[in-house]
Amino acid sequence: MKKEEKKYEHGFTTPDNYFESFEEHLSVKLSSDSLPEKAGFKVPDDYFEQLEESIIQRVEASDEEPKVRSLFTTRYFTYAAAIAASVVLIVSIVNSSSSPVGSMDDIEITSISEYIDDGNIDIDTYDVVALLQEDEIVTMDVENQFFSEESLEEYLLETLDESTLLIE
Amino acid sequence: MVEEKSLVSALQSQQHKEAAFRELVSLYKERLYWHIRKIVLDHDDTDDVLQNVFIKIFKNIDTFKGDSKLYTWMYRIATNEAITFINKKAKRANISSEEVKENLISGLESDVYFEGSAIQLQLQKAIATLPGKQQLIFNMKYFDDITYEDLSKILETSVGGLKSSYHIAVKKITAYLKNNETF
Repeated sequence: MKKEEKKYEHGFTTPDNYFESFEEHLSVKLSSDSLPEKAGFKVPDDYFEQLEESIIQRVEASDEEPKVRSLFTTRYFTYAAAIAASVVLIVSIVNSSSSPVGSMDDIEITSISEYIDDGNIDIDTYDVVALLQEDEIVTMDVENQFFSEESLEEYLLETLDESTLLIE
Repeated sequence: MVEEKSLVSALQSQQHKEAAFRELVSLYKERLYWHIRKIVLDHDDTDDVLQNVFIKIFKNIDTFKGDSKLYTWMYRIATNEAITFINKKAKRANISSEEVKENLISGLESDVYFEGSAIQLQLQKAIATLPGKQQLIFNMKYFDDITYEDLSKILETSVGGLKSSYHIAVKKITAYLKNNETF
């Protein structure tokens, strides 16, 4: 049988799988039409009227806040290490009268770190920071190897402002 | 779009920033409020998150490059802030964020700022059974009527994926309501 040819072609097309998925879409539409239109939440009277001023005031207040530098960085360890090294040096001088005292170069940084990690030195962060000069803070390098990823992540979740992480 | 461009220019200028920001707050406060409210459920928490969102918008408007619409950018900030809020609440209480939502839902009936009918309450319970992202997709598509194209920019998910997720969400919700008829 000769296939009947259409006299006219309208030229319109449909997206891929349109007809295949039509019934599914219709079923979803019918289901969602039976759901409530509103969620049922309400707000206090005049809430939106006073909201603008609240936000403006908070923005102005946050603009005036002085920038707070994080003190909890590995900068602390460098100065803590220096203090610990001094303590170790003094202790070794006091304890060892016969053998010559080693120079600072002989005391490895790892020994000092271990000394601190073992909790042998009780240093308050603020005491350490009191030793820092403004220009030293600015030029100080941050060394990340002292922190585990878990402790860094926990600290960031607890205290850090996430604006720079969330905004793309 | 022309209006949005001039608003963005004003927001990014020193001279007009504050006036433009007031206009922005006025234009978007309700939309963003209701979007956040559907995630965090409680009015006072929503108020906190919303104000933080606008502060973040104010502080970071200079980073807005114009490669998306302004409101999809703001919606993304609002979504992230609301989710972060729930996650922090969960962490403080040492429970999962799903449990936080369940607790909030169970308190909804006695919430002075919820005046929903029985079916609206059931609908919120049904939504809370969905996976987190699916809840977002359902709320934004069903209640806010956001287009799939804009949703795609906000949630960084393909349009096809969003459509599929929305359809599944509707089916699950409908099934939940049928199985939990109390009205």
